[in-house]
Amino acid sequence: MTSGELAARERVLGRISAALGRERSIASVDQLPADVSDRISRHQRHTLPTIGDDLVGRLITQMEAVLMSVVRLQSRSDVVEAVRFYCASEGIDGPMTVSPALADLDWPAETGVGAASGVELTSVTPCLAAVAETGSVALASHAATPATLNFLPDNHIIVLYENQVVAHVDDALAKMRDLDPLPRALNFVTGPSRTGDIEQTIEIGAHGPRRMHVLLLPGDPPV
Amino acid sequence: MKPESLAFSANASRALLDEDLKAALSHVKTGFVGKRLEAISVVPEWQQIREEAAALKNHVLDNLDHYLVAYEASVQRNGGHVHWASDGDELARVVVDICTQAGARTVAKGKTMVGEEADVNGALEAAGIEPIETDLGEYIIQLAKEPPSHIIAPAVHKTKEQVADLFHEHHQQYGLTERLIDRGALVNEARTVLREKFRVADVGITGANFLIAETGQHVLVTNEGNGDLTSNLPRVQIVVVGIEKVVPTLEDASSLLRLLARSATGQHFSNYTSLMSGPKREGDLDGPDAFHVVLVDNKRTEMLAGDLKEMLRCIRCGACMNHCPVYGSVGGHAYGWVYPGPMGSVVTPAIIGVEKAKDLPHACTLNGRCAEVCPMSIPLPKLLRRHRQTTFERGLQSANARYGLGLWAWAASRPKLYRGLTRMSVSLLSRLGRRRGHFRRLPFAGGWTQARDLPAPQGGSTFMSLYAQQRSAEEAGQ
Amino acid sequence: MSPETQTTPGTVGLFVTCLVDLQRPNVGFASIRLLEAAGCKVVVPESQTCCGQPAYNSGDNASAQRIARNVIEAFEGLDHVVAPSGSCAGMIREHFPELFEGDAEWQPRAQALAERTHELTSFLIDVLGADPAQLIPDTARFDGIVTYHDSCSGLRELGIKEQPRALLASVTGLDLKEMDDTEVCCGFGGTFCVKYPDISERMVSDKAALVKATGAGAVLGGDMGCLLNIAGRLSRLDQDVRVYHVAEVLAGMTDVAPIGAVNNAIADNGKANEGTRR
Ligand code: SF4
Repeated sequence: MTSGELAARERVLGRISAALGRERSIASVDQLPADVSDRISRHQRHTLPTIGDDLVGRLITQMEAVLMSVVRLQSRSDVVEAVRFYCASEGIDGPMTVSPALADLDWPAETGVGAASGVELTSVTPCLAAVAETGSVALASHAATPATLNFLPDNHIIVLYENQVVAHVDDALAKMRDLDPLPRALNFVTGPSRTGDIEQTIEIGAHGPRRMHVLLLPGDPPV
Repeated sequence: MKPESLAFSANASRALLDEDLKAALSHVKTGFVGKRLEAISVVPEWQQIREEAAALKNHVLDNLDHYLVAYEASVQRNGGHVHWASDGDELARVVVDICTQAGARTVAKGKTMVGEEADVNGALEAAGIEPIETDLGEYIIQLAKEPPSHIIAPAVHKTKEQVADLFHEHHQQYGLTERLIDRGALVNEARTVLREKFRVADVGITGANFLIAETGQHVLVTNEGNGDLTSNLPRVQIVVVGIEKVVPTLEDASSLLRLLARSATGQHFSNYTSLMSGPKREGDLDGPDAFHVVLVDNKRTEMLAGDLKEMLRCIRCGACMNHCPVYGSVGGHAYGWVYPGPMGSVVTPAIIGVEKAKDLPHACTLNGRCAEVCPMSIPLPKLLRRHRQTTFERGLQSANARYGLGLWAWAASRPKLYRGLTRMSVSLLSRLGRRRGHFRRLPFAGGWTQARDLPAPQGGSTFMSLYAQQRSAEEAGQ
Repeated sequence: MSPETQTTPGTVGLFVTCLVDLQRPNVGFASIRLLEAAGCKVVVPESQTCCGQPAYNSGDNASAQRIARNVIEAFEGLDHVVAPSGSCAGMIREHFPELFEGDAEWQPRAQALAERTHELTSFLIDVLGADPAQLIPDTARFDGIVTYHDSCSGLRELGIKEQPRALLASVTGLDLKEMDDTEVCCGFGGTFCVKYPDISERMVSDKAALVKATGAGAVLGGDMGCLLNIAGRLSRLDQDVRVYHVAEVLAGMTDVAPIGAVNNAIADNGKANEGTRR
């Protein structure tokens, strides 16, 4: 912060405390009043919408409602073939990049591994969680899961394990909270990119992926 | 942008004659109103969630400085920089400084309403830096050199033919010479052009929907994904945001997100809801090298101190304007500044001054539909009345209106005099209007008779004197 | 009758409202007929004028307070105050107490009045728990399709929606057909309609089109402001749709010309002209 900005900080905080009828504001976070720091560390949830017990069923319904397709696979070793099959059946023929986290699978030789470069048509990534409430996948960025793969390619294929399915957005956020360090980005993606900016009529593929496909596996992801 | 809110009446009248605008505004109803209703009807807990959200926001406002300091510390923990700006000019200066120091030539921008308040684009251009809007709606109006006309659908006033003309004019330089008219084709064309802009942008600037004190993250909501490209591709990331956007925890943000998407577009969740903080972590293969947040006051502390405090609960969902019949008639540009509709009529005078926007609080029938749909239960009509009080106290209303009203109010608190006056005028008007039952024109009633006939009083005298006659006849008959 | 409703209705002060006083005495008489049919003793305090909305909504709180004090004095001591208007009843119920916030003498009096004040249809149904079938006289006959405009203040400040409909269901011959967007403002808004006539014109035109689209021969409502606005627009468009206040229909007092149509009123002792506009 420049000295001008330091002055701005003082000014804004001063105006707030004056507005709230306090003599002065705190200068740093160590002076946080106990009730405020308590409020922050309590992680109290608000009323949540009821969504029933069949989380996976609800997730699939919600995903399909926002134009994501879902297929179930038996095991991790089926992923490569499922990706090939999906691309063939959708007529997708072009470069593909996968997250480093999935590099151990038996991908075709020309498959890229790493962040998106902008030329790939398709990406394949794991995810942190999927939310039954909304039909979202939650993707946490990391060296092994670069965030650009979620946005640049035309087609995004996500590998999801049933035990990653959570009920509410709050549950996915709680999973993120446990990551150390906090990921730079946590992206909830709920269907392919869309816009209603021309005559409020929905069009798909405004900036990000035009297609999203979920490969649903039983059990837990490998550690 | 330079406020033009003083010209509200003239601008509104002009807008009403614009047939293209009328056609475009009809999409607000089909695109937003029905979908919102559907989306909330499947959440029986809606009212409960709404009440908790208002309480949460009230709690934050009462501890605003504390939560901001906590947020600041969390951002710093994640390796980000926090800046403060007490007004729009300071915001523009901070942003230009960061861009200049980064040696930036182009800046990709996600939608930011605070940025519009401060005309960040103008400041960047003046510094020789090219800002590119990446939200499709913002991009369209940037090409048209117009301000936004809706807070979540900035180009809602444009028909697809108008968009086609704009793209045809501006995209020839990229070798795209065909005038496309199909919506999907237009979206695709913009995607192609903007992809290249993302590739070369040095800095990405976005707004934020919420700031989370606990984690130092900001939440950014879009449907297009442009906000995420803007945040992930350029080497420097800047977030500009009003100070009222802070919330304590992840759970608090989650609760407000539930209200936001459903109220705004009738979605259960927006397509892209992202939480971000700080530059790339060790080993990360993508993400910005530097991360800045600018916390902006720009009169928010004045609202906090005064009787418009409740307005700071606003989450900018746009539901109030989608349901406002005045907005639906005149569109967003008539309001003459960044924020239109009911929330704009409260916020604009608060930021630019009542003197410069004295019409806005009055251009409302106080029908209350906005407050009914507002997910944050903001009593918009009540806040508009507060502004009206200010315009009255400062003598900002037209002399005619003040004089007429004063005279009437004077009589209305003197029952005997009032009785006499009303009896006289009713008897005159009913005699004059007897033949037709209504008036086509009447002196001093031009505002009324321009659009409609004035029904003549039903009969000869006022209710009060007819009732008195009836009573004395009854008594005499007994 | 629900347990919380009263057994003896008591004395009701009729708050006539300034628009009924000036424009449509028939609504006042219809209200009296309905209240008496429900067993109330009705009085009409002579010193009443207006509820003060024009001043209040213009930001002139000092004038609004002066007028409000006059209302409070005029109606103190009565069991109930009833107005054939959602917006005037809303003003007294919702805004009088607010207007005197911090005033030790007047705030409690405003509050006490607010608690006893009701809109007409809401009073009949919610407070008295009246049985529409008993209350509505056999003479209340209104043939054909009608549509109902929900006035904003009544709807949103007082929750008036089902009450007029429940009562209208007992009127012989009446066939209620809801219009689209019945809860959307008609563009009256008190001084709004003369301050911003162009915007108001668009809004009331939209409303007139929605009324017309139902094919109804009449539009009813509970607030004279909206009704004058809608009637005025329909008349300007030469639309043959009759406009009445709901109280007139419920009391079987539609033998006068509709609002804005040829004047053949009680004062003339004229017979009902069959309600055509001109
Ligand atoms: S005032 Fe309410 S409805 Fe309007 S934008 Fe703000 S939160 Fe949404």
